[in-house]
Amino acid sequence: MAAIVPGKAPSPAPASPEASTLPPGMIRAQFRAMGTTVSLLIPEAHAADGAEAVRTLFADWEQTLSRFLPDSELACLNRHAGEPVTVGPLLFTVLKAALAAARATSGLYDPTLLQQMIQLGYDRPFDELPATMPAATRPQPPGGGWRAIQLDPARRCITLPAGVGIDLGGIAKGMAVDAALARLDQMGISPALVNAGGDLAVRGVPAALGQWPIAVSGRGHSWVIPFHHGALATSGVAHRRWQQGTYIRHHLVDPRTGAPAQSGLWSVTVAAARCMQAEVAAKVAFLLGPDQGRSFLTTHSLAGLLVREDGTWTPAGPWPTTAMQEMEGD
Amino acid sequence: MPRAQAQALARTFKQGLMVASVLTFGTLSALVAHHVTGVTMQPSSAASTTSGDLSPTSPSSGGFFQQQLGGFGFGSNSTGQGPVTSSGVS
Repeated sequence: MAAIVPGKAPSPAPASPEASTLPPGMIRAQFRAMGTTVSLLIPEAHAADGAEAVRTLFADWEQTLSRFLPDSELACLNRHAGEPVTVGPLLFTVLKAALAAARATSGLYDPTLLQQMIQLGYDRPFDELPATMPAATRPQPPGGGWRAIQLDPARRCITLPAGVGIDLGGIAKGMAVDAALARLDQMGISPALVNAGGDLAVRGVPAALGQWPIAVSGRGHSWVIPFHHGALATSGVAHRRWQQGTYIRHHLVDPRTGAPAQSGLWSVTVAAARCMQAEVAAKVAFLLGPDQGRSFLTTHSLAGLLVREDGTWTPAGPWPTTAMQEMEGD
Repeated sequence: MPRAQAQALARTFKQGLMVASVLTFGTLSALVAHHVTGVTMQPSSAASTTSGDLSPTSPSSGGFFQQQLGGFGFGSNSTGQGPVTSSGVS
């Protein structure tokens, strides 16, 4: 069941992103799904039906697309690599989008890094990973397995190459945010904000604010930016880190090497029309590093904030640099 | 070789060259037209779930990052408001 928090008057910028305020007349509902905390802001009048619709949607998506649930459709597909497998419309649609993202980024976004993640030790939900684990027994191979995946749209059939596994984690979360916002829109619920662990999208604006003040984290700094419409997503190495042997690992694997990326970046936040796009672009820009990542974002008419490991940062595209308000306590 | 025979041979050669040129032009035009059609149709076939083709994924961007639905936008200024949520690292 989603927890619902009634609205209250806005207050001055708090010291941390977690201490968020609420626009008057709106409620915040939150629950756990897809390995993260999902929260939404919707008008109080729609608290119960809106929260339940989004919670149900995320539950369905997780049950279908989780690589960790043994009875999910994705887990079944991964177990049958090398054979044609007929799947439901959700998995087919999300995988097709993931392959489109892979093509659009020349493979820098790669949904077929499951074996590499497992070899790196990320073989269970992150919350269940031990603090340290034994060293890897062999080097991780590069990615690229997505190029040989076959789709049969007429029969909704997918054939993975033998030995290749799919991990749809980030893009599935972004698409779920987009889908949840669309569902709220169908229900006539606006304004609305859906946030799945930092991947968020908005529709409409709260009348009292005229915009959505969103906290964006750097390294040692956080800012509030005025967001109006579209989606934001952040990729970085502040979380989802673990120790394997003598190495500190993280979840942003570079398909060119099969190893966690060492790009000189700490995090990348991207604004795009859809959360799916922002999620993929943030990951790819992170892998490319400060200069090429910035070029990548501007080439695709996206806006972003690239934070380097030393805490310095650079904007890309129409990022609202002059409107960034540093948060208290940072 | 007599002059008349040489001229006849030259005419035959020219005619052959013309035919070959026309055929080559036609073939290239057909290839170009087919290529353009294929590229134009890729996004719609990618968006369709009813195509009967069994196809490996093809190298095309498919407009993944196209900014539809009004794209994205920022507010006009900083108003000192506290954040309503955070785009934290996931």
